[in-house]
Amino acid sequence: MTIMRLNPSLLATLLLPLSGGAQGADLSPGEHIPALTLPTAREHKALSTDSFLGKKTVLHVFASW
Amino acid sequence: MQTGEVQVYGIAPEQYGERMALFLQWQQLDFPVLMDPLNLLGVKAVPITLLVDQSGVIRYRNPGPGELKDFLRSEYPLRKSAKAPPALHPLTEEFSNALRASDEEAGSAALGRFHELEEGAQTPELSFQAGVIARWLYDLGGRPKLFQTAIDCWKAALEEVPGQYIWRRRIQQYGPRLDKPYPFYDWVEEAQKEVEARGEQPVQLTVEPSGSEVAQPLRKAEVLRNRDYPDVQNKLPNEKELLEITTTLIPHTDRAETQRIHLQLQPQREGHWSSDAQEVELWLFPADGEAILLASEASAIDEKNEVSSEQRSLEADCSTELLDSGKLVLFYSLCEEKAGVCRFLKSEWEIAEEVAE
Repeated sequence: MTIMRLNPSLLATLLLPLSGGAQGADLSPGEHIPALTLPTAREHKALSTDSFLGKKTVLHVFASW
Repeated sequence: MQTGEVQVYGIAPEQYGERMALFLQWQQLDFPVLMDPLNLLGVKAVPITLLVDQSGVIRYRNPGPGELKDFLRSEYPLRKSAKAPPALHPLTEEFSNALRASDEEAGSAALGRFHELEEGAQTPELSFQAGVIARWLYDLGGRPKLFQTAIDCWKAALEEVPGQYIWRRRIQQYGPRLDKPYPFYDWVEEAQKEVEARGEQPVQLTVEPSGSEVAQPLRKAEVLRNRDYPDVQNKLPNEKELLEITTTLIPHTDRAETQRIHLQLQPQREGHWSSDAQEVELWLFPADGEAILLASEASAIDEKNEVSSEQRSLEADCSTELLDSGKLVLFYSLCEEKAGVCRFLKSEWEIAEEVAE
């Protein structure tokens, strides 16, 4: 019956390579959409924000809750 | 969804992709949604709607109806993107694949890889991401303490950036009902039923939401109707061997006076749950005053199994002050060996002592 109090910053240092991408990206008008590759919810396929190029896009950032 | 003029995409900064897939199936939405559980996009809140031109330049953020018409009518100059998107990070893929496959071996390998990474700068973003991965590893099973690790990571991140509501929601998803802006995943059961009623197979979830994840928010502390304390004469011994109890504490994100306790209960040796006594009761004995019943609804036993020794969980909201000064007492029924004797047991412990260990 113990509670593990692992130092979060120690764990966090192990994750540095994950931080590539668009931390705190500026989503203001006039800015480029951040360059990211993420898995899709349904097919779990890697899809990048490059897929948006060539057509006008409505991008909805949302959650199911 | 593409109409020729405009295409629709989504990005969802949620912990589990399958829940979003079920949501899309339920709502019959067919546009592609990219899952961003680590919040690499870095948004602070949702929803956000962006209108993006064919060169990838954001033209409107949260547009009104008139602006949508203007966007569709406008012709924008073609511009080159400054940077090509990076590949999907192999760790993201590895962890999410292991979770989807419920593959503990793959999870252990991913944990090994996770620990091989070199040290680097510390940021709240990384702390949040560490929490996401810790919770995934917890979901794979066998590492019950990683839930507290996830919460501690998220809490550390939020303390640095209190206005980051994506991080705040990740704690609130599991936290006290007094801290919940909404129930989060109470829609899942209804969605599964409706999808089945349409003759479709609902998207299978790797982690079914339960407890706080489906609980309704509370605006005022709830007083539970007390039952009689089961061991008034203090005759039952403090059982320490037959049940492993792992405690996770989830804080209120604004007010330290309330916490949610999650208990994971795992029978040890050949212990198994008694089929005729599903109830588990969690009581709190404050330093002064009478015992308070905190919870009596543990997760159900799988009745398909003849002998059930599965991990069960129990959750309750509690005052931090009472929790810090008092002791917790758990009552439960466990049986020893397949056809052995079933007994009504008690385990008690103090949270303050555990945290200090």
